[in-house]
Amino acid sequence: MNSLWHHRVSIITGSYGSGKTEVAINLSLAKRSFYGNEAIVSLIDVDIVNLYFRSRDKFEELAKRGIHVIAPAGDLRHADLPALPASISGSLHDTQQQVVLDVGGDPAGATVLGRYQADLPEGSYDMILVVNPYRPYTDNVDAMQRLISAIESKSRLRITALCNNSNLMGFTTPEDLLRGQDLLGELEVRTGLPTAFVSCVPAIAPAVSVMLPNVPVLQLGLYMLPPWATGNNYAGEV
Amino acid sequence: MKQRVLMKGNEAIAEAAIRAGCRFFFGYPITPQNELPEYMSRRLPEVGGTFVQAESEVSAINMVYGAAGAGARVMTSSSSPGISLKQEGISYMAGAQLPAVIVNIVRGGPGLGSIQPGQGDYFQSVKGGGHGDYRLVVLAPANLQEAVDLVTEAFDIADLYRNPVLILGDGLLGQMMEPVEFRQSTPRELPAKDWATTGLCNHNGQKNVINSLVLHAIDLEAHNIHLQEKYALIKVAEQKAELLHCDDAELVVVAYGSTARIVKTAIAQLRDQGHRVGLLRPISLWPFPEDAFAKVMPVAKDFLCVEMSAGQMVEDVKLVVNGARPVHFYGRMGGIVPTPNEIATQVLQIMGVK
Amino acid sequence: MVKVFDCPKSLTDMPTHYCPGCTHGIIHRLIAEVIDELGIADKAVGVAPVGCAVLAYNYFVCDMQEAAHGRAPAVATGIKRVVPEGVVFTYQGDGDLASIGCAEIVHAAARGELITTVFVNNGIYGMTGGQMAPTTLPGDKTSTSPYGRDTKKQGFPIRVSEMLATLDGPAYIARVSVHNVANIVKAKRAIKKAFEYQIAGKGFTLVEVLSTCPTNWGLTPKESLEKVQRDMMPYFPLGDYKDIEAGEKK
Repeated sequence: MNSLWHHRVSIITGSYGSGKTEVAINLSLAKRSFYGNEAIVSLIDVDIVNLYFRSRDKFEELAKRGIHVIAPAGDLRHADLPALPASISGSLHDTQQQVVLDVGGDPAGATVLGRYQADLPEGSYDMILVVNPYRPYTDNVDAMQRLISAIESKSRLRITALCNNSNLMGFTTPEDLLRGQDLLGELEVRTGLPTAFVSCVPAIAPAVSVMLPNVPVLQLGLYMLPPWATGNNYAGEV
Repeated sequence: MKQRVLMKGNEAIAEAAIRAGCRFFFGYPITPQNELPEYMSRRLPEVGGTFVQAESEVSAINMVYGAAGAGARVMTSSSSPGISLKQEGISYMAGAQLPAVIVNIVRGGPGLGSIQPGQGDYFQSVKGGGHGDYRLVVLAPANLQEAVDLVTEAFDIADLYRNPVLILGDGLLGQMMEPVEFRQSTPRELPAKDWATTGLCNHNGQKNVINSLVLHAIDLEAHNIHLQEKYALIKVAEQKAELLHCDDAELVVVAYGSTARIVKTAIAQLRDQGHRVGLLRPISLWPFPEDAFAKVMPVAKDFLCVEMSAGQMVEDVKLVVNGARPVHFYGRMGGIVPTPNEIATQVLQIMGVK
Repeated sequence: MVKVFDCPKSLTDMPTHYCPGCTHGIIHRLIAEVIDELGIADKAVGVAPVGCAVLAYNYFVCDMQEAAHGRAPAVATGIKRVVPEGVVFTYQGDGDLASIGCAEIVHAAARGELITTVFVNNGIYGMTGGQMAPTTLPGDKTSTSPYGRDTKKQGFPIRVSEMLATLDGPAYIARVSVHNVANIVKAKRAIKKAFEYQIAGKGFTLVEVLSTCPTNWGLTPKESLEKVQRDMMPYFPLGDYKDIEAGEKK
């Protein structure tokens, strides 16, 4: 184990558009590099609310990097049907596998987890709430708290930790993460949930580490880029 | 926190509408625009507005007709197949001169097509779509900040001319995320809606009728002439386009929406290699930005139109260029988004660069 | 001298276009009388259909919108949501409401939309030239059922009031007729109750009125009224199908 996870199964949840997929992909890669080439790392895409910019879109690229992406097969990858593959339960039970679950956003996206409640006994997983305070409906601690209880109620699972993913995409500064951590600090006090890690692009990671020395940093290589973006520092402008 | 918020395209359009005073939304689920009605269903009650999930797109647009006729700022959204269903209502609204904003987050077609982005609804948007001689103002944003700004302006344009305005996006624009800032548009002086059917007690007892039926041919022609005069005004006043690197451009790429952003990446690469390439990006698809073409004509030797379609806007480009220069076309269909490299290759081929 | 009969204030003085012997005129008058009696002309907004009543917007002294074919309940929904203090009604024929506009009326009723629909059922398309309607009786000849409506090929008439009464959204659903004076009085009572329920916010209301079309039926006005009683009423029985104040009937 290391500081980014405590259990074999990591469930990445959060509000819509909080950056869950980038976090899930990069956490899978971190697990892969931590456990080495022998380990099986499965990234399970159970995002049934999003359509574009899903883990499954990077199926081939991630396979090359040793990540086994579990998602609807064939044409169904491009459909707006839930079509969950049967192998999901198998991966959840296989003690040899490291698993990351990329869940759809909001309580709506977390609902699907309820279907796997029997496969996920309490204490067997990390469930990480990805938070970006620059998104509507998670810009204050009250709203974050409401989100936690709504996601827990829909998923019938317990959130175990927080991820500070404060960002304005290419406009993000280290100070943005610092400001985000202020809010998460209050959320920690109110809920007792720890911040598992902060996540940001490599360019600002050193500065973030200095500003937030007590929180591990998950560096994000960006995968969900629009077709006109050319680098990791996509600025989001025409 | 900063004023900028990170938003998904569909959400940003919805929030912009609310900030523009839209308090009524009628819609029906269809991918890839569902976040828009979902956001509205959550946000509108917070601001005292009304969200109704209609039984069909047909009903939704007719609810918009009723609400617009009663003087409200009102919006509906859909994606290609759903927009086809709305065409009847859109024609009636154009005929009855009702202001409203309609959003089309275009997907691949024809038929059920796919849920991937497309630009195959250009003809439908700018050439009619429904029956009769009418025009919609069609605005095509290329990024979310522009989407937000154009939605705000769209409500003003609709009210000013008493005409429906269409925001033409695509799946990519609806689904992508970008930071946006909600800001005031330049205020326009808008006429009072003294024609709205709110009950006689609300307009001094004078009866108001919202209608597109004109039985006598002479009268219907007069009504049509009035509409055409209005469209002529819009054509002069509401053209919008962006010109990039066109001052010395021998080849001008014409593209709108998401495609234009990919073209920009291609142009940056080509400029680095010393090629004189520019971009003409129509923002208003109707009225088509003819004035912008007049600016680039003196220098441009070739035009290349790039679309996520089999070639639709290229017909308008040819009409404007009117044979004075060669007009080339490159398109991808079925939800395939062209890459910057593909576009650069086309440009180099036309310029005769090996 | 006391005036005992006059034109309702809510009807304009424009002569209607309805054929002699057609009962649309009576139904218009009943609505106008109800609007007058309830004193709601200044906050009423009517929605006219496509069908013989397409020009209804000319005849009422209140704000009006002309809807696309079958869409009046959707248009009325839009109006009512914007002007909740208004009194909104649709006036629709059987082709408009029970055929092309079936989805709109069912869902407006299911939503309990606070509008009143006056549904004029004469079992035929009057406007377009006497074609078969969703309410044309089995065996009746029309210009698109020249051999008589064959239920094996053309299906059965739709009983709209009975169908909508199964929903929870409506507050009041009644079928009435205007083929004689006694029934005209009852019809007016029903229309008035529908408007009153709307004003009280009780739910969706609809009054189905059995009506005539001497022109396309090819019958004299008197024969037409007899046909309503003889042929239509057995298939479309009169009565209250839903009244949330009285409980369900029939």
